[in-house]
Amino acid sequence: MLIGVLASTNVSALDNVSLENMDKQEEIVRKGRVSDSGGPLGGVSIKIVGTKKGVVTDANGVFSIKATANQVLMVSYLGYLTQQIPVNNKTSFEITLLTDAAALDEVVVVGYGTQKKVNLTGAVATISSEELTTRQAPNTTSLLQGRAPGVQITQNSGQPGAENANIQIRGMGTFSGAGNNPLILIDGVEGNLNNLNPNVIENISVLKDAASASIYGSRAANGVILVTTKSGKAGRLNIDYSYNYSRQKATSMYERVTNSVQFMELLNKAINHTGTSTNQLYSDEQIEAYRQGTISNSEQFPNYDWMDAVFRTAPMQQHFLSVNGGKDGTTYNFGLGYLNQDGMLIATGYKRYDAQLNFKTNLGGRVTFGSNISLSKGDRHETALNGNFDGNTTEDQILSALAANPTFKPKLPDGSGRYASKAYIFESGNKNPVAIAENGGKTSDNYYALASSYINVDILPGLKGELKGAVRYQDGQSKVHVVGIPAYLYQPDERGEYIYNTQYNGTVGENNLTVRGERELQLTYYLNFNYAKSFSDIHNINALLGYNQETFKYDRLQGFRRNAPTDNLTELDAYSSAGQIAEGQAYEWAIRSIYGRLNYNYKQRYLFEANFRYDGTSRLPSGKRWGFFPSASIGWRLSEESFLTSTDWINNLKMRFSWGQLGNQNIGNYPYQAILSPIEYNIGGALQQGMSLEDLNNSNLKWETTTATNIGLDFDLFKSSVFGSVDWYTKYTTDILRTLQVPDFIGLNGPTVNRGEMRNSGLEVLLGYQNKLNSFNYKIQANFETYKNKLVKFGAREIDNGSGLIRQEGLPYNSYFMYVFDGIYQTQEEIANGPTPISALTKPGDMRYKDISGPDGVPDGKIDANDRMVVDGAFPSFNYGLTFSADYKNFDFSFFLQGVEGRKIYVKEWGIAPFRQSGPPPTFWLNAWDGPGTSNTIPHIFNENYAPNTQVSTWWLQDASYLRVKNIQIGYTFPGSLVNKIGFQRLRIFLSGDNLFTFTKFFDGGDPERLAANSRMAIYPQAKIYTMGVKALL
Amino acid sequence: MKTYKTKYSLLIFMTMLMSCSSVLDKDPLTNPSSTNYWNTTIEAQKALIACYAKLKEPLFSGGPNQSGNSLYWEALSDNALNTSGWEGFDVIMRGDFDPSTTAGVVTKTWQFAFQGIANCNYFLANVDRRVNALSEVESKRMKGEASFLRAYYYNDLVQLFGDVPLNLEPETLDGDFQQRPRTAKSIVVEQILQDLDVAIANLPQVAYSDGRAVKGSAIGLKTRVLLNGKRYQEAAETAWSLIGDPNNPFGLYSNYAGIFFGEQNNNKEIMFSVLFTAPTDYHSMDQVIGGRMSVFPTAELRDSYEMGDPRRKMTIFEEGDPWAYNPQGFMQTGSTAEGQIPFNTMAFKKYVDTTVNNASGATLSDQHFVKIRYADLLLMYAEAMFESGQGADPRALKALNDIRTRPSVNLAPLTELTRAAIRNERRVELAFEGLRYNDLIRWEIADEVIPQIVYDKQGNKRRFKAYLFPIPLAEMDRMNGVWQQNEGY
Repeated sequence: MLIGVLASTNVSALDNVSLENMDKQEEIVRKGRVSDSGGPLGGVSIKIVGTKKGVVTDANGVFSIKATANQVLMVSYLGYLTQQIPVNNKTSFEITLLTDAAALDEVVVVGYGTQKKVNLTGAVATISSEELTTRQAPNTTSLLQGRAPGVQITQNSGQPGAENANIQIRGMGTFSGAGNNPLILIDGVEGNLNNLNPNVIENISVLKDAASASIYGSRAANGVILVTTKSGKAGRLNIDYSYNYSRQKATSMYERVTNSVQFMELLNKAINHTGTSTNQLYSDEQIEAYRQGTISNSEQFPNYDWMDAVFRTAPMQQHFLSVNGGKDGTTYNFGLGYLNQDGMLIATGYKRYDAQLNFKTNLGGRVTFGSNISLSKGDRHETALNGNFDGNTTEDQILSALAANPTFKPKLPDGSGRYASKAYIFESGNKNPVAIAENGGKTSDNYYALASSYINVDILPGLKGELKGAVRYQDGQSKVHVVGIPAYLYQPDERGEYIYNTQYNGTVGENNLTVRGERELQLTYYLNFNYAKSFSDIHNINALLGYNQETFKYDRLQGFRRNAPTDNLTELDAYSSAGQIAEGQAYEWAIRSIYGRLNYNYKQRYLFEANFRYDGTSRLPSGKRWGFFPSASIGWRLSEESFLTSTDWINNLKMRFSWGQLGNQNIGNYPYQAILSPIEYNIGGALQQGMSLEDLNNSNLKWETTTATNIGLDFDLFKSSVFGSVDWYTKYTTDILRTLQVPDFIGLNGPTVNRGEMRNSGLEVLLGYQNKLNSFNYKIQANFETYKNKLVKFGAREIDNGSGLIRQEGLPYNSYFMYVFDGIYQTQEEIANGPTPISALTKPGDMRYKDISGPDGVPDGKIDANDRMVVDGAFPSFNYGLTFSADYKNFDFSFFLQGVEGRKIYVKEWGIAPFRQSGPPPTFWLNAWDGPGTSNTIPHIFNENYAPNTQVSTWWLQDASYLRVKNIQIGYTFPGSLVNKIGFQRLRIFLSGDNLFTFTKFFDGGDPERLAANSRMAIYPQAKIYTMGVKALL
Repeated sequence: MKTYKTKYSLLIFMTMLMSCSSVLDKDPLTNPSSTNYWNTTIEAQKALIACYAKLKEPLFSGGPNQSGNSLYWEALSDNALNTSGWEGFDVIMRGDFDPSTTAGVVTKTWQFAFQGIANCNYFLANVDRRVNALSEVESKRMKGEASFLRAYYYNDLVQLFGDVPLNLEPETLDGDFQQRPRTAKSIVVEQILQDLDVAIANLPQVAYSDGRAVKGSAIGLKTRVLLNGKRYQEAAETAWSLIGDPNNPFGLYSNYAGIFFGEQNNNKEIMFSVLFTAPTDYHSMDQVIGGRMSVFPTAELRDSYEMGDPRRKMTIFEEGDPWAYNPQGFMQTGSTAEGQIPFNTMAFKKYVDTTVNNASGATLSDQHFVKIRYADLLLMYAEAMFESGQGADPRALKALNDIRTRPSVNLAPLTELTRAAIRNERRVELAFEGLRYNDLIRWEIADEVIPQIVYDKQGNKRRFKAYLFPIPLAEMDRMNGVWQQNEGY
């Protein structure tokens, strides 16, 4: 095995006492201290090359060893580049170890165990704790973004505590019910990543191929994310503390016409063109009043930008304290975190308190006992939606603001504090978002505990047993408190009085309250035995066999009452019992499994691994509920072959091949059972319960299976300065569990069926380079992934016309299917001479669509449903990420880019269409068609629901490719000599910026980083986060 | 010692794990399973309630926080206009629609009616599954109700869509539904009539009171179906089977306005309706914003009331009428509900609680939505008699005159039946009850009258697209090539 040796330039003589005339053979005491960028390192091995002599550094990184001047010290530590340092005449050493991204003896967490990275035969990506905590984003899932090839994270919202970040590993594997979420295991137990403070995470492994994931069998088809939390290290007691203060600002803001006169004239123009809502036309007098008033009396006649009313620059603070260490066979790591994040959208915010308690002790002899406990409490606040408990409140807030006209401000100009609904009675619009934000609201308090205990026993030499039991308990209480709010017209009547116009949330009385309590309880037990044996370092065997059982139950109780005497009470007893509603529900599932693994390698040169899992699930009928999921993989470390060991620029070179099968049973809880659902009807003056059969039932379900193949290459070259890996894979999913699309006329919902086959194939590349120039250390790492999705078998094609999607064999799943925009009609003749437009209302200035086909498959001179066409862009062409980090003396610097190329997103309505609910149009509509020859890209401005232009067409399908500077950070670590005096081991301060720049061709004001499923433009924007922070080690 | 402890606890733990072998058998906790249903009378009753439940869809009646609702249907006819985009009624009213804009009323009517039919089919196929669970009387009546409801849903479908697939049995996964053709309207109508004959035979001849269909409801619906099919003689006979029955429990009610608000319970004129009871089961029709003011009468409707017809004031708000929101009366300015009033300064008053002064939003209203009533039956009888050449029969004239001369209307009786008189009487008597559009289609005059209606202040006129709705595009997509789209799309 070759060892990466770096020149000893980072050794600086602290002591310049000349020892020239000392005898080179004389053994004298040499002292030194070993540290890394995070501070002193304990437990580092210092050996004298060619001897058996060696020592280990203490908790402060200090060592002392006797050596002669012509000997060489070998300094090594797991996960760091080993250094060889000639002793020469120095008696004192200050040694800085560099982390080794491709460390040969690095250990990677895999299913139910660990594995040396060099011996891995599956495709496993790892993310270190440093990579995770570089960014200041408060949402843990989002921190994984762009860090590993094949792991695609899309954060759909910037709402604090509800970022809704979506994880997709290696494309879209299936289209069955619960989708493509990977299995997330925290210290071996299913848990929730977002309830975990990123500071307590030691590392994350992403199991991407079947070989590495199949030990998790039926739940691994979408990949597995293994999170390991930090445990203490034997040695001194450490106290880590960090504090960040951030300011968050929207990455992009809707740019709209906010000049009232311009807005009024444009709306008139749009109404006259569209021919509907003519009661909303502004009179010349009204426009004139604003023309004068905006200059002379801008309080009464404002040019108001409602984005200023609802968006703000919001602060965020994070504290984290960790106490860790170990003594006498016991190690511990306690972490405490606090996050206080105000939202950029008014009335939104999130607070999280979390604690991680990890503890492990040797019970003497061969038994080790430990416990990992995560606790968190998250409190989220947002606005209340009347009568819609689970609705998207922030979307409602944003679209209400987008629908508000610039002609009025949130409150009346008379200083009374009364809310305004609109300027004039005939204006359209939605709600006053400020009034909604300031009255009532929704609170969601979520308590989370993930506690596990384990016993490890060394039963016999090489044979170990592990027993773990865990509880995940989540308890949430949410309250939607709705308060009726009167609102007035902003323009007074002839008597000068502000007229009462409407009451928001005025449903049925003046206020109401819904309270929901919900609980989740998941119990996990597993027991496994691991046997490892090496025969003369030639034949190495490792075998694992285990049993796992999990049960889950969810239940919910919900109550609704209305009419409390005052508007500030948020307990049900304060409300009237008349018309109260009580609701409750529960569901459960269980899974039992037997699993095993066998590893064999010959001289660590030829590697072999086989896994299996045998899973039984409560979700399938008893005859079909057990499924067997095998996998096998082989690896060949070419660098261990004799013909390459002498090639000194190759440190490690390995080829991998794997094959395996994975399952999916994530399809609802009782998919094969025919159930009746309650439905109510009034008989004799009271609601009576009815029972309705709503679904077509399929009692004959079986497992969905994904067969995956992976070919990979790992390399580590030029003394580890160049490293990386390349993986090619295919995932072929069969018997996909999906809802069968049935015609509406059967009156029943489609059943879950095993129907459909889908293929994903892709390529992933990771490439890194690290080097140093004098004191300047730097590292650059890039990742790239591309994949193709194809629906191989499906049955009858399905079209989702509202979203412009088609599911058809031979195409990528959910390909875009829509009319093709073909310029703007310039003249009436053009309309008359061209194909019959889709709408009889079509006029010059409206969109023209391509005549693709007719009922007989050829263009028929008529634009209708036959002219919808498949359009690309459902899946990105490729995703990529790039990290650069460097340090020079006490300064460190890093930046991180992430991007998506070739993805398109269909968007509509508020924030993009002109005058949705009469909201001011985005500024690009100022360049709209306005007479022949004026534009062939932007149609004549129109009012909403205008059939010629609001068809699902490619005009609304935008290129959502982007390149985003996700993070730039600069830090300074105070010299040890300075901070040691005041009791710190280490002290670092930094400035960091998140989501600083975005390069995209997407619609102005829209964020291209979003889930395609959300076709409305109005979503909570992502945050630019400017942070300053301090990190101290005591 | 310590190791033994560990070993024993391991052993105990393992035993605990392995012992519960049934851990994978999980049954739904919130819903009953259909496999062990149908054992008791109560279960059958609950399955029958489900057959009714689709009538609770706001599109067919009303619902919480919904104002207007089923009244939107009136705006498809020449009786009313609509300025709201709710369920896409506005584009149909203007005539600007095509199959790709069929979300809303077109798609939902299709879905809800077929869901109602599926519930009826499930009930009818299973009600006799457990012999003796139900008494003979109970079983007959319940089957009568389900048959009535299946006929009700199918009648809506054939009137709006023409040929539709005819399903009479619960669907199964291996069924042929992906290839099923649309059944000719005439065949579906035969089935509707058969179902109604079952209903008429099985339902009791009692007054309608609690929301359950009775024999009179089925006779009313059968008359409507026959009349739609221009089977005048049969329609007249069917109507007369109730009108002429000495035990007829139905009759005209003395207060016209009371049929729609305030005096609906046990009202002898109502033959079938959708009931509401606030505060648990309410709609918000009295809410001044939304549907209530978005669907408003046309000048043509107002002008079709003859001089002195009190029903005009009981049906329409006109300028200056007493108006709870404004002491000056119903007008464009000076009101707490200002701006809601439509451009032609009219609103519907039928059904409305005129004392409600609540500009603040939704109300807890519970008017029952009347679906079939005795005056409709009398007018259908008059029309059927006239169109079958029996206009001179005094019973036909009396049917019409009973309506005109009832207390609270008190118009002079006509001396002679004419087609125009019958049609106009129908229009004014039944305005805003969702029947006019069906009438225009039956009389085949929709394409003449609709394009004459101005729908906005600027004088834009409506277009009439076609006598049938298009089959929803999504359904056509799902039936990929098996079906033909309706004429005109």
